Amino acid sequence: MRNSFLKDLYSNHFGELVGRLRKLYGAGPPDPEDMAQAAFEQIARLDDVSRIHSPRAFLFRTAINLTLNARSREKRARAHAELEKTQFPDAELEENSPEIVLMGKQAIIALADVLKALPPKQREIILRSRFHGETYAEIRAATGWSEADISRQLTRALETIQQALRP
Amino acid sequence: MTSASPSPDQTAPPSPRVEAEARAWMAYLLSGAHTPDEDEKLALWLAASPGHRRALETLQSGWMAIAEIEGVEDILSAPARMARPRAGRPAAPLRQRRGLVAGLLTAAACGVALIFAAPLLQPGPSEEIYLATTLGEIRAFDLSDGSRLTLDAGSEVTGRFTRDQRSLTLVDGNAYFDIARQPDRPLDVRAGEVRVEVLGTQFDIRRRQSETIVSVEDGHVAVTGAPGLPAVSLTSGFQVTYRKGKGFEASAPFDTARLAAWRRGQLYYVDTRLSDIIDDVNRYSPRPITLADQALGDMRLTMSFSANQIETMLAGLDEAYPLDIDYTSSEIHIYSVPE
Repeated sequence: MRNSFLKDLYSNHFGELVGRLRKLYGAGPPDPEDMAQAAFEQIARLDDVSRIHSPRAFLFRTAINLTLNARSREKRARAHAELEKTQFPDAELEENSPEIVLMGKQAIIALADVLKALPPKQREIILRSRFHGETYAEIRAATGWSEADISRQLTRALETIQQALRP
Repeated sequence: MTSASPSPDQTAPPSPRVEAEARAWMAYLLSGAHTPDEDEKLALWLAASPGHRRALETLQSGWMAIAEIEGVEDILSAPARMARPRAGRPAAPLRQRRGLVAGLLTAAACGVALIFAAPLLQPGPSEEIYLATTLGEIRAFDLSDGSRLTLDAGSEVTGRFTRDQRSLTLVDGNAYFDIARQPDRPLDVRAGEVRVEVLGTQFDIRRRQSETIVSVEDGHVAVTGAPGLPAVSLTSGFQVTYRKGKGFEASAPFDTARLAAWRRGQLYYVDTRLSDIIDDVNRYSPRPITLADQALGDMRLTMSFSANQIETMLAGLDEAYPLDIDYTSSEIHIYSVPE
């Protein structure tokens, strides 16, 4: 039963997942296929898949986080520096833990609605920060916006997110 | 039986102040610029109350969950939704503007004065200041040092007061500063590249897209612009205009009564570019007003009207000048017509 669930998941979603990752990250590194594969391994390791309301969304989210983790590891290695902790000290743990706090379906829909309505600048900052793991300095280098402005815009976007999550 | 202090309600939603602090820490976490000092302050903040941790975790969950949104990669990389060239306020869909207004209102139950002292985060006394007004709202705020700030609609001021320095930033819009005199605690206000230094005085700063105007009603201030430009010394009754990339214009006297009028919701303009007027008016208009072309924006006008009669003012424009106005549900668009 469980195996057939995973098998179906794989045949239904693997190709699409790789496609979505390519759209965001191109050919990598890390290789989108490897990240998609790793995301499936994560979901297979979960004890209780029934809490996942959308396996497709969960796989995508997991693959994004794995990609960011891989990138930040690579960044740290490259920089040869004892850089700060990962953005989210718990991020790597999170994907392995069965205790993941998943947002409800309604909350995701509410988030989607506010995201669509955000000003383009805030959307771009979220894209760069959440999906590419860029720091303010990296966003500044790519866009020319000041770090103060980036911080302000992101803070505004976070406020909108808080509103969407209020019960 | 001894009564313990009531334990905080585990399910109570975080206060606006805690939510604002959680946002600030989240922005810090995402900045990529970590310092041991700030990390320590974050740890202290988290330890100070379980509500703090909950607020930050909620925000983190939301942030992580962005990746679960259907088609999120397309939503985020969608180009700006601008149908026509716009002037005035940066374009944002009406729905978002409304959301923002509603959000600002809920953020601090009307008026949005989140003046939060953060004794745990700072060594020594320090006060963080965040003031904002919504579209169409003019409001005065009293600060802890006795200063009083009046914010024009759609404006935002942030700042920090410490034992020996008072710093404010006009992030957006227009504000009137009535600053309490404290010789051992000077105050400075930043507005983009412009910086105004004062001891105690009354002055007004208006930030527009193209210019920043500092007007001194009483007292004396020093105004600086981009690095390398000489500072301008301004006394009572004088104002100076700063244009990005061009520097300061010569300081000139101004009509204090007219300048003060916005605080009562009355707007006066003498020989002013239409694009600058529209810039100001968009702080009051629920629908953004846009101009079709530069030539229209450069048209100079002398006019006076009440901030709550913008449509009447527009109708007057329509009648008196070779222009037409399109009213849609999401914007008001002004364009030229041949005479």
